[in-house]
Amino acid sequence: MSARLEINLDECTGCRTCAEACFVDVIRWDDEEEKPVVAYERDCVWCFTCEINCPSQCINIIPQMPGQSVNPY
Amino acid sequence: MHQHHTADAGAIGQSILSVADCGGKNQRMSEGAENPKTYDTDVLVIGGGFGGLAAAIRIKELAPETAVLLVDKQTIGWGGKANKGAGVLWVLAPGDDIEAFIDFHVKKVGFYLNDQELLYKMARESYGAAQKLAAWGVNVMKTSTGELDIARLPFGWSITAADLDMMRPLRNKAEKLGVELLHKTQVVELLKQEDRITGAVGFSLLNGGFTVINSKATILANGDCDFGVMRMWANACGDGVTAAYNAGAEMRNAEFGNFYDVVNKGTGIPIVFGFNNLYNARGENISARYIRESQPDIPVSIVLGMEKEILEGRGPIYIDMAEFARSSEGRADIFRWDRPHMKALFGHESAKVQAYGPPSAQKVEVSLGFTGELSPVKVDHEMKTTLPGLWAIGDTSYAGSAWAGAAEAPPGGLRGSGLMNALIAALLAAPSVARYSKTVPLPVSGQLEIASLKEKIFAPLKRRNGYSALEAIRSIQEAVVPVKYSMRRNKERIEEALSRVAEVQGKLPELYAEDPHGLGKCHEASCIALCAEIGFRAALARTESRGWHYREDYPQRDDRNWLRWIIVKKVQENMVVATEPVPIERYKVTPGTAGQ
Repeated sequence: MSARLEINLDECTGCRTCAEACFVDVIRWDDEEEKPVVAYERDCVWCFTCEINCPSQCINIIPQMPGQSVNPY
Repeated sequence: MHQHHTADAGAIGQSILSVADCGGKNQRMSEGAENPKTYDTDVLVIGGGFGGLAAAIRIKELAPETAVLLVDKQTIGWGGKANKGAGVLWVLAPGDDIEAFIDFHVKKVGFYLNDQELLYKMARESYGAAQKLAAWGVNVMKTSTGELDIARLPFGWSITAADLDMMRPLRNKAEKLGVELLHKTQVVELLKQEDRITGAVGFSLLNGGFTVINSKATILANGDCDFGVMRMWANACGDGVTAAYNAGAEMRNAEFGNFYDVVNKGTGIPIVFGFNNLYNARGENISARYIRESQPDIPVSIVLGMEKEILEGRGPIYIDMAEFARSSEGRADIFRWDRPHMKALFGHESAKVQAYGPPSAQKVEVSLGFTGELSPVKVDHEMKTTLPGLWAIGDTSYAGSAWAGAAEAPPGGLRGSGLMNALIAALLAAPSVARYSKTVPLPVSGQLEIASLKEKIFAPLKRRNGYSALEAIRSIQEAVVPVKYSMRRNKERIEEALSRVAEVQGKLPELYAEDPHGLGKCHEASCIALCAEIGFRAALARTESRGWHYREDYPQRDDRNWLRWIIVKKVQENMVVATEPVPIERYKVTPGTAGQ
């Protein structure tokens, strides 16, 4: 499971919500630029919390499906 | 009063989210690791999810002068599991039949391995607990007259629901009461003086800083082990279970940490209650074939049946979505409530599936999604573990508390029990923790112990290559996910799974990390491996089939020999498996009860 994250930094208002909302430490915060950084994209589990809660709607997550890859049989 | 001291003691509660000091790939160990941040507190709550926040709030309500520090490896108010599910809470509401509920739960879900006294307690506390949640500002469903709104279900109980923004009002409430928050800090080990737990150590995911917390009382609320398999539970790696086990706490009911659900094969997303509408490639209704009577949740028989159909060449397996929709109509009132945040999450997920997933169809191919849910920390009726100074609540001790019995816990045979279990466990623990923290002095951690733990915790950062944490996690998943290891068990296959786990464990000393994020993965890999071993060792010991534990070589329930809980414990460096009798003579519902 993974995903591609697209953040339009031109639209980003620097509110930090995405970095706080990420529960798998994928998005970090750049204090100097006051913008998010996609630091560990491979660990994204496409929960969409950052995207849904972004007030300027500048995040797009492209999920890699399926979300499970180990064969149960 | 809360105190914190030493070196560069940062203010607890400040929002620490920065990439500037997160340690670049060339920075092996940050300055912070050399100069630990040390915190002293009356109560340490490890895990800022639903249960941890509820416990912290309740302790401050009961004893406002108590210093409470809440620490989480992600950002409190967003982390945890509660806000990533359906938000359903079961309740025994006025008018529900508690005796019918207990009878059903013991006979059909827990199969006599329940702690029935705790089961009664959970049932009696549930309605008030839901009201308490509403009083804390969580959007719990209400009627037009302001009463708790419920939907009655078969088998004697009801459900209500909360909207999925529930973590934010809880965090706000906690902060208002003076709970101090420490984000992005991964706890690895508990501190111990003689038998008593005296705090914990960990590190900052942001800058790799070493963190030492001295506490009079400690609550583990950092979830169970889901082996990193299911997306939304990716953070539940058994951190707390591992810390408790390594400190010497007893585990109970670990053989029931093997939950499977039916998932859409193309997306991996669970289709809850989809087990009732399954067809094989020949168009035969396999739900009817393998499910003998109505079940409140997915039964073992359909998990085994799905595997059998595949292995015997009658796959793939499908759900008829039109039939599924029709069969769900009776449950429609469960989701009649207006919950904007839940709708936003699931609506968004559906839109993404439409955009990037497999094409929608009436016949959807399904598979089995392993979740695990190993939650074995043994606790008493106040959620005290077997170690003084240590409590465990929520998913950390769901199975270990034993109220659910021989069930995969969570969900414990009842959807909606995970949230209620966490909430009630927090409410039961809080008075006990508040009292205890007044009776013991603030511990002072030993310098030698701290230095040794620091060396151990940061060791992967000193290696530039070796064993990859992601490879370790993948290898453990390959040992726990297959039905042949975790559900259709027999002695040989469990031993085979254990040898696969041991192979991974043998390489764990070679784990390497490039930065604190990678260090976190290394510790998660170690936790996942240990939890797999605990689960398989318990499964090997239970030589019968009961509830969610099925042994192909012992297919019958054996009440003569197995009205016993399996206890797993670390003794010196060995994993010791023992049993403890269920005090069935004290309980109302017994295997001899008429009408079973």
